[in-house]
Amino acid sequence: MGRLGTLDEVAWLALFLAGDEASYITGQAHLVDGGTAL
Amino acid sequence: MPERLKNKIALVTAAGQGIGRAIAEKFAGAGAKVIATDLDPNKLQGLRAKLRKLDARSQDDIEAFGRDISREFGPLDILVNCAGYVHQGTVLDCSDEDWDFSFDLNVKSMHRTIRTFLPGMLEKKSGSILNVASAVSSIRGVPNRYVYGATKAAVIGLTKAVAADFIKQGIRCNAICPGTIESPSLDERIAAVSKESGRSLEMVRQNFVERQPMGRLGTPDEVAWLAVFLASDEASYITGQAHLVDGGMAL
Repeated sequence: MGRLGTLDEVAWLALFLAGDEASYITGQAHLVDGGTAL
Repeated sequence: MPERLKNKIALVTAAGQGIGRAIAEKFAGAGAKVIATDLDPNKLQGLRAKLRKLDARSQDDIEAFGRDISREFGPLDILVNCAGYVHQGTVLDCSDEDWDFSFDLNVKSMHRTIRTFLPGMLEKKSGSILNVASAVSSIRGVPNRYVYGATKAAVIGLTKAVAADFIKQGIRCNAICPGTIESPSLDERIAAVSKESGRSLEMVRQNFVERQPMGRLGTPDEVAWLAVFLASDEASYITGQAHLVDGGMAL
């Protein structure tokens, strides 16, 4: 992406995964890496 | 977090039922302006969205639709490709026609919509594309999902390729990989398996449930919440990934 990620961008993912919206999501490693792993 | 998609223009294909409909509903609830399409426009009734019949297998239909949308709404912010079909069976049950139909609907439809709507996103230097793949893909193989799994693996590859090509131009592209979700599409599959095997609907449904590590099926809403997150600016550093919402099926 040509930029670093922000702490907030990690925090939004944490908030989503911690909440009930993610109630069918488990056992996964979620990348928040700006496409570094592509 | 109300209005997470405030003023975003979002297109959802196959929004008539199941996962697509849940996504269209949650997007509207999050403040997006939603354009909802389906092959059967009657199924779209009741959605808070602009409704339109769309055949995701028709290049002409998608091109004409693209022109209409561009005139009325301008470029999209969010494109959700949800149209797809589950073919049951092994390689031996899959004719050339079955193969072509599944790839045309499940994969090439996404190629068509992305080619149609990506240029507008590039002009804005901003866009989030979500492709509905499946846990049954390059992630897992399960019995009797031969061509379906092949198409959904292709969707993951297509997703990563689009993400890589446009990563520096403000475009994010992610795949959502549901496990087994309660939906009319699942009901049809259960009915088909029941008819073929002679087992009761309840028994077949129970088998689907037992395959789930959580001991239950997922709901369309649980997939839709993931779509809201990935479509939103909250996921601005997330691209090119296959995101499972599968109740641990891939474990």
